[in-house]
Amino acid sequence: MNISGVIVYAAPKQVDSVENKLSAIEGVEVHAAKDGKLVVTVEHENINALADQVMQFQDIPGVMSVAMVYQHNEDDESLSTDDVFLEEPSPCTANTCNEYTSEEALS
Amino acid sequence: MKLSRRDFIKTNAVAATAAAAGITIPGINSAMAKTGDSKIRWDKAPCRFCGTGCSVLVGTKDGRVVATQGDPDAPVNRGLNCIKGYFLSKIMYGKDRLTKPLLRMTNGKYDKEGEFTEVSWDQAFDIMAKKWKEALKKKGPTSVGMFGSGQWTVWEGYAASKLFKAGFRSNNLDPNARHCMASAVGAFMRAFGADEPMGCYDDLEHADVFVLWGANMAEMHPILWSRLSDTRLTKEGCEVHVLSTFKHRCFDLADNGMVFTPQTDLAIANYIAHYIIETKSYNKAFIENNVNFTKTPTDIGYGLRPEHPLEKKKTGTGGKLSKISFEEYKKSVAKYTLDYTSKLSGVPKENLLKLAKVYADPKKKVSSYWTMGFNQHTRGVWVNGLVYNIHLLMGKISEPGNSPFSLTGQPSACGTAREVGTFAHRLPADLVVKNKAHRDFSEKVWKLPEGTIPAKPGYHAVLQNRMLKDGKLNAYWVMCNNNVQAAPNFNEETYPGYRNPENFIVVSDPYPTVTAMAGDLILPTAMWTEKEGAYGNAERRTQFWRQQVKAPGESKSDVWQLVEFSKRFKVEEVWPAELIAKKPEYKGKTLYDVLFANGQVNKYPKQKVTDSAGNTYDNDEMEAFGFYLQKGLYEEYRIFGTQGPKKGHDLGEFDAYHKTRGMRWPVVNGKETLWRYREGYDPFVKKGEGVKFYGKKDGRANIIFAPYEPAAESPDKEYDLWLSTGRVLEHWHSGSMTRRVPELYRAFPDAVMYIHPADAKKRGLRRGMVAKVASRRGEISLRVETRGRNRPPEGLVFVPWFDAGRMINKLTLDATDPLSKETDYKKCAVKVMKA
Repeated sequence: MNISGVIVYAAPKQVDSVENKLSAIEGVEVHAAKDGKLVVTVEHENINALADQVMQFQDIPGVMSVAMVYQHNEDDESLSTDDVFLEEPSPCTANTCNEYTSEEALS
Repeated sequence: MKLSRRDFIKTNAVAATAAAAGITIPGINSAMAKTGDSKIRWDKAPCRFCGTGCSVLVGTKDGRVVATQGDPDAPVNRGLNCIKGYFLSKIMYGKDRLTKPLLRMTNGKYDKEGEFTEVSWDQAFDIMAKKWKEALKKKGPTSVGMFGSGQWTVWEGYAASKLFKAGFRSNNLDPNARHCMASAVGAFMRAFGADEPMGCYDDLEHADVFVLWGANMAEMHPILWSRLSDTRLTKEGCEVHVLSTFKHRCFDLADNGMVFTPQTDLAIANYIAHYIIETKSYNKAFIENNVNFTKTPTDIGYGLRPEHPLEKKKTGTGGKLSKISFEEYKKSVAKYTLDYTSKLSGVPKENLLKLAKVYADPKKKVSSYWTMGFNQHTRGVWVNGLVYNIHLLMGKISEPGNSPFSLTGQPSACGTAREVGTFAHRLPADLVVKNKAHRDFSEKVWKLPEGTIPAKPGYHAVLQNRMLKDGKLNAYWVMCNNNVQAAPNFNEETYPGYRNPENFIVVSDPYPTVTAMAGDLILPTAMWTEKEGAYGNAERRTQFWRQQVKAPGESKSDVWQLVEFSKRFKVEEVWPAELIAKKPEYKGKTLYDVLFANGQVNKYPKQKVTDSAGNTYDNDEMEAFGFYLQKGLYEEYRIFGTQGPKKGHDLGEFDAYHKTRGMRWPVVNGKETLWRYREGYDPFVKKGEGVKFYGKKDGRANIIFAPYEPAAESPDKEYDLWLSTGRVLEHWHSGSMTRRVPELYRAFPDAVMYIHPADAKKRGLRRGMVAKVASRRGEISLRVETRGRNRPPEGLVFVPWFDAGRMINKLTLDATDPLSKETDYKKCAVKVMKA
């Protein structure tokens, strides 16, 4: 199982149609859209399919650019058996999220 | 709160992505439990591919790079990755990595026609040293040479420069950056007297208008394109203008997309200057205080072999500038009226006018970007300069958002090829071999006798291949590039040169590229994070990385190869007695002693390499030589910037770079410089000076008039189409790395020919059919593509060059800019037919 976070940049007038086309693809979810930027996750059984998927995003009319941000890759078993507990939520700003991901990554 | 692990990971993905996009999503937060696999060690490194210089986090587990991700703390890419960067972790693990030196042998002996056979490093250096010494003895220093790289680390380029220019006393050292950046360098030196852009990537947020001149940023610099797109989508009134000889992905975002006839960019740029003057929009005060008007010699030929008819026809030569008045300049551009330019270029008048108006509007901040469309141009230095002319006329330069910006294609074309000066005519920090004072200074830093460095520039890239073919360059080392695939005119120049029986060709590479296979000795090479490194990107940012993993088998880094090879030569074998007599203490010493164990390069003792978290890292070169080689080379190199004759090239201290996401030079008192030449931003411009182009003695930049002149080879009755070559998003350059990543290979497996449907139809071709494309020099067969990302106009085809199985450089012409010696890969004449 591979989960990726991707930003899709869409032409201003085509944001809705891009969002609809993306959402129609299996394993693809659009979580937010603002100023032509769509926060998208892609789930796939293997990373090969993921690459193909992201390349296909580029061919959707109105897509200006695609940037990869986050990926996670592990086998299915651990995903289904391993639960985790979260700390209390706190507001996410660009900075705190950045700090978080980098700290996590560098730890 | 309890979540399934899958939800948790997805939430992480959304949080990181939203943060990178600058979007807040209610309910999604950053306070996640630490899930990072604690067995993975993460450290930063600049990406191995293009000149953008994204920083990635490299995840290492059990001695192997297992993951990479965009570095959220990197100012360049802010956590983003393009598709190539995403798969970076896989480039070192292609199945056909070379792990042992391979020599062409028959019956246990070197034979140019023999089969590649495994040998030891000792045997490899034995035969290499023998061939080098034979060549030096027979024909002198001009018979040895090296083709280096804009992908070399800073210290690799520096070590190569010392070994060749000082050690072997040969200036026949040129980087593959000659193919990509030489025209940019030439134009910077002519206009400003100092190389590299005055602005930086921060302009991507500050500008109101973006103009792309011959740059397909959407595919070649995707992360910069994402930043540009972001500004276009969020800033009111922001406009994007795109100029190209065919439609590409950038046109999707363009407010003003313009397809022009190849070579007429020269006329378009002059038209804009004409418009600015005609409408009296120019910035009078700026021109009076900061600019000289000049013109350049015309009809200067096409950098072909001297016996070529086009070279015999030329009436002018070189690039010596002569001063003219503003009135003379005004007259020179007056020819480029809207009518004339529109007719010549094929761009509708309203589009040209729209473009001219944004440059001429004093209230609009304009950033211009260009890459290979301008640089790979037989008038590349001219056309780079014509855009500086526009920015200088308006004073739209050296401040946030107003930025003429030359993008680069390689990760250290700036840091290594240009700043270290690994060109046949250059020395570090913008010094040149022709200038006696510059040679003197270099020899002083390098503790060498006066007269060690030859004054005559060596063979540049294209000339090296010609000299190989002509048998004048005989011992030749190709390192960190794939020039058999990259160089123009493979059939007539490159291949005959490599296989000339008089020559011994050494190729250092991690993979068996076509260049390696065309050589006589292959040296297996450590790549990217298998060594400690430093790259310099297009915005003057120098970035360091630590060695993360060991190289496979007996692979060794380029810097190890260069330094170790120097031990094979006594000074008596390479220098004349008169030269040694000036430094008798060097008698009997090896080049290693003189160049690297010189008290400076070996100054820093062996130490443990650690990061702030206490992780420790290997440094195989430090282990091999017994001192901190990279630090010694870098600190010696840094003297050129801090004490050299050219102002404003200061770099920071070695250790500082390991702690930052890079710094943009000049770095003074530990502080980087974002905009050069302007008071308040650049520490070398004094209070009250305002703008000062201090690369020039009088502090003024040159506006240089240059006219439109035709291309070296244009379509005719038989060869009736233009051929343009270039890259695609999924592959980087010759594909030697990206084609070994299965995901990228599958995404774009083979080169195709992009052609207009009408042109295809005329030739009985349809999408997906195999076509033959031929020039006067060669032909290849490949599939026809009439749709998709690139949409050429009628009369032009585009073929990418990444595919070793379909080498488009069999067709290209080795016409170069006579000033920069850079090849025009964007224009030659071809015909297309059914295969």
